[in-house]
Amino acid sequence: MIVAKNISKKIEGKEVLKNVSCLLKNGEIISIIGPSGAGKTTFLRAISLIDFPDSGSLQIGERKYAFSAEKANVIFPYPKLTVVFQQFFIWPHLTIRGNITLALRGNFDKKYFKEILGLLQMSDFLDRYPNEVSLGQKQRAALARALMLRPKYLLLDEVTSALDIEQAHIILGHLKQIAEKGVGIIFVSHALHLASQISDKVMFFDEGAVVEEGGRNILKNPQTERLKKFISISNQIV
Amino acid sequence: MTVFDIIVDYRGVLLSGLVVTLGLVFVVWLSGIVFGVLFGMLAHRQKGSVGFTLKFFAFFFASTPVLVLLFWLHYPLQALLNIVIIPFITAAFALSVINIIGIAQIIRDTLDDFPEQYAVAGKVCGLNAKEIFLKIEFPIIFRQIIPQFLTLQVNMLQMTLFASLISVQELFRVAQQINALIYKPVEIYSALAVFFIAICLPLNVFAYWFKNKYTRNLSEK
Repeated sequence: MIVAKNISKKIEGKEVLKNVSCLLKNGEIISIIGPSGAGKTTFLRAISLIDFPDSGSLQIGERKYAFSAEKANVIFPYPKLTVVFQQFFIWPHLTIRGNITLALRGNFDKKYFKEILGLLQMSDFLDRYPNEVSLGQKQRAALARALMLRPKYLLLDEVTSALDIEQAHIILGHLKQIAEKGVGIIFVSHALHLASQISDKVMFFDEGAVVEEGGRNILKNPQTERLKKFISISNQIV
Repeated sequence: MTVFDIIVDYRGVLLSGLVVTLGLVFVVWLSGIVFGVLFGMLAHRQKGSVGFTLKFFAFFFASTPVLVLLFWLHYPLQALLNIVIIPFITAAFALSVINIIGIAQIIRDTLDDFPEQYAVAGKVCGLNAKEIFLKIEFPIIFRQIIPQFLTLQVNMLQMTLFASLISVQELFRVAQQINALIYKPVEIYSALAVFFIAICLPLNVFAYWFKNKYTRNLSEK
């Protein structure tokens, strides 16, 4: 379980997260939606301890973090919690295979590896370097790298942005299967139709705060004017 | 008299010139690697003080021809200070400083451009700081540095020729002296060109090959 309470953060004097709280249970998928600059990625980075929040508290599994604490003393939760970034950050000096297996050390499970390859349809480009594959293939590689670590909590930042609709739906279906195995997933996305398809909970961010949250039905029956407007604009674009 | 005859007849002096050239370039390469890497790393970490100093020297040496620097260190400076330094040391010092600044710039620029997120990606995969350095940061940085580094070192080898102008008995000066005795410029300077091509061409080709094969676009910041 991840419990984040009153997470706040300022960047260059501007408050980019304002008392955001969130509860992610094991096996649950939370979608975070909102316009660009709403604080979605900042929140993801804060609760994954990549960028420390200024205040608030966080519990990841059994481990508790309070943000008056010194950074040096922190025991990081990786790879029990791992993150897939919007920009992938596939290491350029390694092949796709090397990227997926680098952090496994001795824990290489061949059967699971093949399962992931099949799931993400990666066999064709496994031995290519990142500069030789497409954006969509890089994105799948980043996802495979995270999945091979068998995390308990998976934080995904726009992981379907470089995929075509068909691929995105296939991957979301598999994310749902992964969640059913007990993995808690937070999924940041612009795509409302994807969020409505897989989420147990939806959080709508605007200007660093949670404006509305609830079950996925809030995307059909929004209560706030801000979310109504966001959905309306998104539907027009789709 | 063929090139071969010249090499055989003057092998003693040619060899002594070769030893001086290799000694000079060894000092220049070694000091560049040791101090240039350190200077570059410091300039990356302390952008304000050391970084500014590096920028200042980089602009200064980019604006000063090597020959002018060598002459200035060899004649006016020593006259001003009323000291006499052997030409080899003057040349080694001048070329080393140029190499140190060049390597420091390569190191500083590569470290500045390194996308920190590659390390963050390693961190969230559970790698510790040592593993991140050895498996991610060092291999990527090394691949970025090598081609520019080799090209600079080839240039430094070629710059040792300038040392002849302050009377360092290196290969070019020896060739000039032999030519003054037997006047066979085509053969002598062709042999010299072959020597430099034999060393510089493989290094340049290797740098080019390495760049194409291993250097990556790191713009994914």
